[in-house]
Amino acid sequence: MNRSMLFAAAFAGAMTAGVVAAGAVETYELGGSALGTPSVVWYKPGGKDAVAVFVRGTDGHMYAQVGDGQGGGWTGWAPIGDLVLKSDPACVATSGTIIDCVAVGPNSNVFHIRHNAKAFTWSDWEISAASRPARRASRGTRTRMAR
Amino acid sequence: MLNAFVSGPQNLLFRNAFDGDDWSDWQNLEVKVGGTVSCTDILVIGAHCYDTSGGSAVQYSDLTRTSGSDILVDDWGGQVSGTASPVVTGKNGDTLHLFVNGPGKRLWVKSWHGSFSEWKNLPVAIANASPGCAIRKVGGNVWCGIVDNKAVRMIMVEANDL
Repeated sequence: MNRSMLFAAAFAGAMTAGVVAAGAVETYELGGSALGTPSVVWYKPGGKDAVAVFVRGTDGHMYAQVGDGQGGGWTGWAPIGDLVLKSDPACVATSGTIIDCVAVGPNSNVFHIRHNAKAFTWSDWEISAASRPARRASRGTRTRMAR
Repeated sequence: MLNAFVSGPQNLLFRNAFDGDDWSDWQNLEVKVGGTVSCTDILVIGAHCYDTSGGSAVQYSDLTRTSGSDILVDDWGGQVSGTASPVVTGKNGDTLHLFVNGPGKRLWVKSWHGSFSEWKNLPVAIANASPGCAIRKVGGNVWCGIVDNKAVRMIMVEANDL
């Protein structure tokens, strides 16, 4: 990769260029009662690709749903932890079986929660700052992420 | 390594890194952003964040290795509503797609793989929603989620058509 190209080639282009064919896009209604912007991750529970979508529900809690990545197999919404969030969750698969999510919670602290797809467990929400006491934000039980 | 980026006090960008056991603590990157940023990791370069609060997609580069005036800031242009969703794919993590809510309240994407594509208009209306997207490192379909009138809609885009 030519790193300089990435930086130097940025430009202010008008958004009038290519159009993608209609057949290249499919939509699926998952319902729910959510706020803000979802966070979507590909991961690989049980050795098979899957797509997980995370949202902040209208009650402030995080909810998740998993699909097979081909458009089917949606599991329905499941609550994750019991922290009331002040921001949308931001999630990423840091390996095929680990998903990490962060979000702003009470007192504008940033909280972190981890899913282990091998063990079918979620950690609790915990504050993500080494300078603060590692006080527990939530004492929610471990939640199985339905598949 | 998990990196978290936030817009903190005085709209300065902060980073915190998690090694699997402990967080590094918040590091002030000493660069101002306009609001909520969306970030991704371009594996051969480092983390990049995107700020669309000014109506175009502004890129903050190499945030895992630089700070302050060393951070390169580039404007990708566009007419963006809400927040952007950057995703990275490819064997070396060197193909970037940036999804946004653009003109016509439709999903738009701009890509980089050695050079920039034009903005592309995807044939799906997303109202006033901001997309949250994901793609596998090996490529394949892109999935984007939006919230429209509190309901969640998932959009599958064939990556070969981007």
